[in-house]
Amino acid sequence: MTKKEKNFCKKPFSVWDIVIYIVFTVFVIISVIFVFIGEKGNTVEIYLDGKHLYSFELSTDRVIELEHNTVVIENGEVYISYADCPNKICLNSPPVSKAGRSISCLPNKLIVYISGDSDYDAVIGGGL
Amino acid sequence: METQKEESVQKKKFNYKILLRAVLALLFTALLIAVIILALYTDEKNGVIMGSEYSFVTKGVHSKLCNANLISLIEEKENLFSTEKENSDIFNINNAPKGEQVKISSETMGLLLLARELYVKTDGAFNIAIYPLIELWKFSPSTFNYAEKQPPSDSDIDSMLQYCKFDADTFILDKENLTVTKKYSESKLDPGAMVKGYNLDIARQNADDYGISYSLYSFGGSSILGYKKSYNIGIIDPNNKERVLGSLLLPENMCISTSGTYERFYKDSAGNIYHHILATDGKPSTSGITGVTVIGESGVLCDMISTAVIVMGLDKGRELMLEYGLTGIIVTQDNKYSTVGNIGFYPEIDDYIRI
Ligand SMILES: [Zn+2]
Repeated sequence: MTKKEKNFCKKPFSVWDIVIYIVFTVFVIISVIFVFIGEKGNTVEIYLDGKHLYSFELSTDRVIELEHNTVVIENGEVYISYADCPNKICLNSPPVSKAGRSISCLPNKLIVYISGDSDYDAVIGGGL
Repeated sequence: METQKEESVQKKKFNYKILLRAVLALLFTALLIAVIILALYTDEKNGVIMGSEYSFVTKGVHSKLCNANLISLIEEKENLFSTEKENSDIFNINNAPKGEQVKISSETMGLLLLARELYVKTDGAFNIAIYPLIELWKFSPSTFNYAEKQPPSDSDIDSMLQYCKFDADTFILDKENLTVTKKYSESKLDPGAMVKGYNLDIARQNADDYGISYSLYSFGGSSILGYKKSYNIGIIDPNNKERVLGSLLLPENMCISTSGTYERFYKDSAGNIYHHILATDGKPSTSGITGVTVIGESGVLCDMISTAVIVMGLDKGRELMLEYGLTGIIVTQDNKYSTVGNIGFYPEIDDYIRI
């Protein structure tokens, strides 16, 4: 065995390997951060019966016709304009515009939620 | 000649070594990416369960399974606690004639015993048997809407009051045989003021079982648990629900629950406003409290106490919270707020006075 071969058997990892590993690790962490903390504007997320149906920009006016409800995005606000539910609570809910707020038509299992940059992880209020 | 041969062999081995190292580095990187992605894997669920909305944002390897299991667990609770679902324990109690022993699950019995404890402790301010009056006032989920309507008459309220007690005489809770017996056929229960908080306790146990990294659970927009992470929570201004009163950092594994008179209300033709939190006289509470936020470890307790404090008022409500080791915020109708315990609340609007 040559000296070099002996060294390889004793120390399979040299300083340069460790440097390469560190470079890889930093690269991976930076990419992950980019993926998870990408800046994005507020979006309107529409959930029906526990399933995510649509995702729309809050900044673009739009009318979304669903089977039992109509959701309107207008001037950076969202509201429900039509509902066939018995209590019509959803039609009487004020429009929402800020991230973290939602409006719903509970009898029809519709949730309209604004996601995006918010000062809060969650907003709480109301209740029995 | 020989040295030349040795050199060429060495060259070959050197190349092989580089390849080995490159493969090792790639494997290592792939493993690292997999670990990070799995640990940060987020499963988000939004929907409607037991007549109110839920939202789960769960991070961890098993977050998808964890959320799916939580939903099926709560669907099971719906079969126990729902007032609407046929053959739920509560449905069976509500529809039973007087004197009939209604068999219930031990879990429902546990919930009813806790409700009894609070009923006695708060002199009836927390009362799940007020349901017939809630229906009379048209505040139950199936009767409520915002349309203008006349409130029930005083005589109708007074004649209903006798059925709306949750004392040991009106509802006999037999914990050995797991039965409930009513004194009046007209008596009915609605555990709605405790179920959302109870769901948080189930969510925490379920997240423990699945080894979740961290998670945010919300039920009805009024009960939240920050699992294994502290979360910044904005509190809606009870006197103007379009803005946020302020925020607080909810410590990890703690629950927060709110009650507000602004959740359900209507006007009569004279313009008087009636809200859905009824006091012991069977009429909307006049304590002057419009919103209560309660923070504590037990979700169900936070949920129950937040309702009771609205009825009990500032001083008695604060005493009750301190007695149960809970912290929070009490807001009055004249734009004043009071903090209970050490909560680190940051007000964000300036037309409020701290008292
Ligand atoms: Zn509706």
